[in-house]
This record gives sequence, structure tokens and C-alpha cells, in this order.
Amino acid sequence: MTRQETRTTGPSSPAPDARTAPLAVRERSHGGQGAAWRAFLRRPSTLVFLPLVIIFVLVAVIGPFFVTDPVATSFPKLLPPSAEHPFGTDMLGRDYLARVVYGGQISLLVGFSVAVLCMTFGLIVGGLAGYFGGWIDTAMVKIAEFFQVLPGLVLALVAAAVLGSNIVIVGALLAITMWPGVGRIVRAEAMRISKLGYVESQKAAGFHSLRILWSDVIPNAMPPVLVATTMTVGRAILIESGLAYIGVGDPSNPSWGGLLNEAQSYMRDSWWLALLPGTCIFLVVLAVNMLGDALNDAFNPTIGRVK
Amino acid sequence: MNAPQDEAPLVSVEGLQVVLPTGERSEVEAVRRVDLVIRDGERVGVVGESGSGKSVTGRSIAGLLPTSPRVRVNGSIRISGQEMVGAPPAAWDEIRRSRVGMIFQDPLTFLNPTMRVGRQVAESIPPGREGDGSARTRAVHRFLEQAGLERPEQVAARFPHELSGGMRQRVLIAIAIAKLPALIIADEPTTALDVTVQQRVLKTLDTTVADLGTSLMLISHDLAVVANMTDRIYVMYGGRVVEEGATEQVLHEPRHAYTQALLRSVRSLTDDGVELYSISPELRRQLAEEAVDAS
Amino acid sequence: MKAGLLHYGRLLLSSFILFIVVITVLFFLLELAPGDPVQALVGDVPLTEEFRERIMAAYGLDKPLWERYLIYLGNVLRGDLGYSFATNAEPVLDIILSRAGNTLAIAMPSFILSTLGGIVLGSIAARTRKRWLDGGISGIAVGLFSIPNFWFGMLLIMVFSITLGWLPTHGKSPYGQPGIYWEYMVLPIITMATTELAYKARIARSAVIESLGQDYIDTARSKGLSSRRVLWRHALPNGLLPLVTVSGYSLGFILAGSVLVERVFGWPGMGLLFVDAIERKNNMVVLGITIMLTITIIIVNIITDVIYGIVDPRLRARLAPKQEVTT
Ligand SMILES: Nc1ncnc2c1ncn2[C@@H]1O[C@H](COP(=O)(O)OP(=O)(O)O)[C@@H](O)[C@H]1O
Ligand SMILES: [Mg+2]
Repeated sequence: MTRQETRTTGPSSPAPDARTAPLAVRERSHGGQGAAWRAFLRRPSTLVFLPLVIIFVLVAVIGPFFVTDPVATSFPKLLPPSAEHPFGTDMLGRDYLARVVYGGQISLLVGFSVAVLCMTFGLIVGGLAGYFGGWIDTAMVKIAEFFQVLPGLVLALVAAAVLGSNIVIVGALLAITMWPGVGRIVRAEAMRISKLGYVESQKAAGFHSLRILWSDVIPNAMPPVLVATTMTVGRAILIESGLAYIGVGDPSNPSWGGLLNEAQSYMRDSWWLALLPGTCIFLVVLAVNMLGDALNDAFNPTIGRVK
Repeated sequence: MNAPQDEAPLVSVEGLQVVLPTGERSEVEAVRRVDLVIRDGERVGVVGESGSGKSVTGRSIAGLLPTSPRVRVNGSIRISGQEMVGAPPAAWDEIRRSRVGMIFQDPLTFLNPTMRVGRQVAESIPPGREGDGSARTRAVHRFLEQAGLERPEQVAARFPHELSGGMRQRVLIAIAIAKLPALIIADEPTTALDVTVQQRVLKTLDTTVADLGTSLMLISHDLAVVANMTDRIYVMYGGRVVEEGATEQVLHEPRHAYTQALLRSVRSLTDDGVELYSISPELRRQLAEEAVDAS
Repeated sequence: MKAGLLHYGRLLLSSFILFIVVITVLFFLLELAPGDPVQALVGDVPLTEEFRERIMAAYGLDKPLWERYLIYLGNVLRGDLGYSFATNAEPVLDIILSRAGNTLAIAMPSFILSTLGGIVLGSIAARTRKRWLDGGISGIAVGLFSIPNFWFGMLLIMVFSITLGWLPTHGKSPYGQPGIYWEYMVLPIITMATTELAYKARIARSAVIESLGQDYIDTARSKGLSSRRVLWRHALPNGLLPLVTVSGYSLGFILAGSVLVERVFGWPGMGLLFVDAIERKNNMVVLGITIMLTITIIIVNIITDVIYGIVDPRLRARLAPKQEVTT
């Protein structure tokens, strides 16, 4: 994989004629991203999990129009799932389907907004750090190290405990602890690009650095950044659910994790209370992780030498 | 030069074709119908520019192609008369254990970074041949010494990263000769070394092969390396052998235009260390047409 | 040797700085807390006026910010993590230490199980030529780390404790009994180990695949070694090096995750203490546990670094002087 052979064909000798040239497909560059997207959309796991994510998002967005009031305690308590209440009712006699639909809004909102925040932070700070180096770079590396040592979960817990827990704080904390993942990827790409000959010459020619960042670094870094962002959605949903499970979050507007918190004491007789929200978390996180893997495979196909 | 018909040559390759996968749906025909013979004690050179299929040919003979099921090998490779194309892995293991040794190009990456040099050499001695324990250790030191390493006891206790490039290449030589093979395939054994070290390592290879009486298949993109070391030369281009003959003859009366160009070409090192053969565009076109005609 | 001392000196220094930074962040979080600073510090307990004075004095709450910061820093560095006002002003350090053993009793087995299991499964997936086996292991791994860990624990309780009645649901021993009973450990350990196992299997798989693709594997094959020997003697020792670092981080994640797992199983360790403290706004306990956790993680990272320096001969030069051999 790492062999380097002295090339005997160089700039002075044109590349061998197409007919004798080995029929190899060489690595993809800019132009190949369209092909990679098509490859992504054709993968079997994409065909299964992309629709799944879309369904969950749709349910979260338009579901509330179709379900009853999630806080109305108007039904018998702890009814198991039935035709009338597909998800049963909870300990206070609230329709559980409605609660799961509304809970999904919170979970998905946290997941996607944390991911978008991470991507934005990561692109900006990682790009600047890698491109300019110097103190921005040092600072970013140190911050990344910090969050590697102190698990985000713990910091979020402490902050929520001290500052009081609401969903905005939780989301912001998750974004703050998770963005270095994306930042590191962008930084590496920016470092690579800033050392390339043509960028050096653009720098010399007085091209604006920000323009280079925008037009060269970001497009090149995009595939791995998208993979990382996709995975961030899943991790943010998982961590938020854990926080909500131990009571950090808005108890009057529970996310799926908050529902599991309520379900804890009813596991013995009312299995659906614990089973359904957990299954939702699992399916969504599984789907985004699988999509992340599929993206990764589509953009980094195992090209070149096999062993 | 003419071996008796009834005695099979050490290696006899006929119509070898190797297709390697390069991507999920793409593949490359790295070697296209190559015929090649290596007789006992003979030294054969294989030259040609990078990508011409030299390494793949050499690796085919050692059974060291990628293990992916998408690799396709056609034709025939006979080693001492035994057909190896389609042979089971165990048969190949046996060949590699005692018949064929291989020396690779990059002495750092081809040595296991976490294993002491002595053990890496010892692994190459077929089990039981030298007895065990101290006899084996002594054998390891002997091979290291034979490969031109002084103070072999010290070297054996080192990890690869603690040795210089030239020393590592000598360790690879020791690994190859430790099995007392009938054939050593050296694939660009000096390309990764400093120019000053290259000559000395080649000299060691020369004397070791002579001492052991093994055959040698020396692969290089550098005609000069091959010229002094071999009896016979194969010139490869685009996965084919374009010329074959006694070294003297190929050097002095090259028949093929590509060989002539190779000989004429002024090799010069560019700034970034890339070597250039000045082969004219017309010749490349001509070679391309030839290739199409041939297929 | 000099390079070695320099490396470890730098490592210790940066670990110490990191520790200070964590404490600083925690301090300013406390400062940001809304409302009465004394109440923020001690949590939701009724206070006498006299008590209030004492806290004010001990933490210099009437002093300027930077002085308060130094006082807090000094207290922590002297091992004074404050008092739990929820439980008779017991020193926080004592409470934490009394719980730490329980957490380690499930965290360490989880750590070991997940590391070994991850390596074995990952190597099998990497090496096998059976597509279904590799696909199966990889798929299960993604599945397992997509499950909310605590919910997995709830499922285990519902299946193995409630439905099948094989194992207890709650606690570390039958009511009133001292010590830890093994039946009580099973489900918490499985729960804790699962996510990490999946994660490590995934990393081990790609690491082994990567090392099977290295050039020295060709050399090993060129010796006629069997493919099993190539795997065990050459691919695994190199491929598993990165797992040392991963395992170091994973211990931190396991400990952090114990907060959730202990809540699920009512396991009386540091995690449960943490959750209780959060609920009661017993902030000194919250901060104390966070500080202890940080210290543990930092120490583990240092140990990881040392181990890495031992198992990777290329880094061993940091420990022992290098003798040049020349020809
Ligand atoms: N492991 C491999 N996988 C895919 N293609 C390969 C592999 N090894 C070599 N090739 C291709 O086969 C052709 C011949 O390569 P090689 O034999 O290495 O050339 P040489 O040794 O003459 O420089 C080249 O086009 C090269 O890209
Ligand atoms: Mg080659």
C-alpha cells in the first residue's frame, strides 16, 4: 500500500496511449463527487435507512396534527397498545402515541441542530486552524484534547445541574463538546490544501485566503465532514436521551429519553412504556449511523491495490 | 544455453496473464501473455519502466499476488516441472518455505516493525533444518553475516527502525537466503537506497547468490543495475515481454525499438527524484499500435 | 533516556494543566449559576444564618472573583472537595471513596470483557473470507452502538429479570446484605460492556485489515508461513497497537456511562451518587465526582501512554537509551 516506485514516465514523456495504458480507474477528484452521490443513493443500506429517517422526520413535523393532546390525561391509565391507542396510555392516562410523537420532535430537533452547529463550528474553526496554523491551531488542538479527556456527557451533566436544565442549554452544551470531531477533519484537509503548490501560488498572487478556504478547502473536506456530521446526529440523540433519562431536560416536554425516565418505574407491568421510545431512539440512531457508513463507503471506495 | 529437453527448467512461465482488481468495478490486465524461463543457477534480469508489469510477474512466480478472490491468473507457471497456477495455498507455502525467496524494494516497510530482526530471519529457516535453540540462533547470525552485516548478534537483537536503510535491505537478503532457496527474486532491491549504498548491497547480493549457487531473477527499472549482474534480460512494456536475449546481446544489438530507446535515453534525476526516460511520443504510439496488433 | 524524560515530563505537565483547566471550567460554571452563591454551592438544603457565614468565610464568597478562584483551586489541590450538606456535612471525598469500589466492581470487568471481546470479534471479521460473517459482525457492531446503553439495560431487566426471573432487577445484594453478589453484577456488566465492545470490535476490525495490507505481511508470506501464523505473529501485534489508545479512552467512557447504568440497576456506585446529587442540587458532590473522574481519566491516559511506549518498539527509545549499531 505504501510502496513508492520511482516513476519512469514523467512530464517530458506523455502518458502512455490510452490503448496500452492499464485499464485502471484512477482516484476520483472533484468531478467524481456526483458519481459518489449516485453510488451512495444506490447502496442497499441507503435504500432502507434514508426512507426511515425521512419517515421519522415527517412524523415529527406533521405527526402532531394527527394525534391527540400529549398532556391531556383523559384516558384510562396504563392501557396496553390497542387499536384505539396504538401505543397504549401512560401512568397518568395520556395517549402514549401522542407523547412519543412529541418526544420525537425534541429528540430529533436536538440531534439535527447539534449536528448542524457542530458542522458550522467545525468548518469555520477547523478551516482557519489548519490553514493559518499558529495560535488558532494550537488553541483548537488543546480544546479538542480537553473534550477528549472529559466526556461530554459529564460536562453536560454538571452544567445542567448547576445552570438548570433546559433543552437549549443541553443542545448548546452538546454542540460545544462535540464540534472538535468535525473540526479535526476540516483542519487536516485545510493543512493539506494550504501546502499544495497551487494554493501557495494563489496566496502569492494575492488571492484572498478566505476565498481559498471557501472554494478549495471546504469542498474537499465536505465528504468526510458530512460523514462525521451524520454520525453526530446519532450521538447527540443518544447523549440527549441519556441526560433526559436522568432528569436533565424539560420534564413538561419530555424527549424520548425523558419518556424512558418516566417508564423506569413501570417496567414490570407496562412494557410498552419502556419499549416504544427506546425502539424509536434505536431506529433513528441506527439509521443515521448506517447512512454515515454508506456515505463513507461511497466517498472512499477501496480504490487501488487489493491485498 | 540449450537445456536438455527432458529436464524441466527451474521456472517456466508460459502465456501468463494476470488481472488485478483496482476498484469495485474496474480491473487492470497487469501482465499479458508473458513467457519466461529461469534455469538452474541462471541469473535473469527483468527491465522496463514503472508499471510495465515486472513486479506482478515476479510476485506471480512467488505466489505473492494479492489474495483477493478477484485476482485472475491464467497460463502456466511451472516450478521444477510442478504446475503452480491453480495450486492450493499449501503447495505455494511449501514452495515459499524452501524453494523461492523474495527480496522487496522498500527495506523499512517490508520488515515487521514490532519484531526483532533475529526472529524475522529465524522464521524463514524451515522448521527442523538447523535443529533448535542455539543452533538456530547461530544459523541466523550466519545468514546475517552472509548478507554483509557485521556483528550479527547485535543486529539480531534490534528492531528494524534501529537500523539504517542499507542494513535493513541486507536483513531482507538474509531472510531470503535463510531458506537456502533455489531461486531468489529481487524486486528493485536497491531502488529505495542511497546511491552510495546501492553498489555495496548489489555486490553483496552478487556474492551471496554466487556462493549459494541459486538462480536470480533481478527486477529493475534501471538497465545499468541489471547489466552487470545477469546472464539474460527480459525487457517488458505494457505487461508484455518486448525483447529477450543474452545480456550482452540485448545491450549491444537491441532489436526492439523500445529497448533501443531505453539504451539511448539519458536518464537524469529531476529535482524531486523522479527518473525520466526520454521516450519519444512517436515510439509510444508505435508501441501502442503493436500492442493492439498483438492482441 | 533524555528524550524519554523530556517526553514524560511534558506529558505530566500537560496533564496537570489540563486538570487545572477542568477545575477552572467547573469553577466558572458555578459562578454562572443563577441565584444565591451559597445556595448554589451547597445545594437545596435549608441553611442557618450561622452556617451561611461559615460557608461565606470558607470559600471567600465576599471576596473578589480571582481570590475566590484561587481559594477554590487551593482547596481542590489540597484534596478538600468540600462537604455534602445533604448528609450531615460529610466530607465529599469520603463519600466518593466509599462508593468508588462499587463502581469499579462493574466498570473493570466491563472494560476487560469489552476489550477482549472487541479484539476477538474484530479480528475474526477482518480476517474471514466469508462475507456473511464479516457483514454480520460489522452489522451487529453498528447495531449495538446505536442502542441507548441505558435502554439496553432496561430491556435486559425486562427480559431476564422480570419475564424469565433469572436475575435480580436492582441493587448489589439482597436487601440488607453487605457486599456484592455476583447475580447482581451480571446485567450491569453486560450493559456497560456492550457499547464499548461494539465500538472496539469496529476499530479492531479496521486496524487488523489495515495491518494485513502492510508490506511486511508480504515478507511474512514470502517465508511460506501459514496464514494463521501470519495473522497471529505479524498482523495482530501491529494491528492492535492503536487499540491501546482506544482502550484508554474507553475506560473514561465506561466510567462516565456508569452514571446511566447505575441508575438503571440502582447500583450504589459513584454514578448513582452523581444522579442523586444532581437531583438534590448537591453541587459539591457533583463537582467532587467530576473532579475525581477527571483525575482518573488523566491518570489512565498517562498509563496508556506509558504502555504504548512499551508495546511499540519504535517508541521504546523513550524509555531506554538507544545504542547505535553500524556496519
Ligand atoms: N496490488 C495491485 N492492485 C491493483 N493493481 C496493481 C497492483 N499491483 C500492480 N498493479 C498494476 O499492475 C500494473 C503493473 O504493475 P507492476 O508489476 O507493479 O509494475 P512494475 O513493477 O513494472 O513497475 C500497473 O498498472 C499497476 O498499477
Ligand atoms: Mg515494481
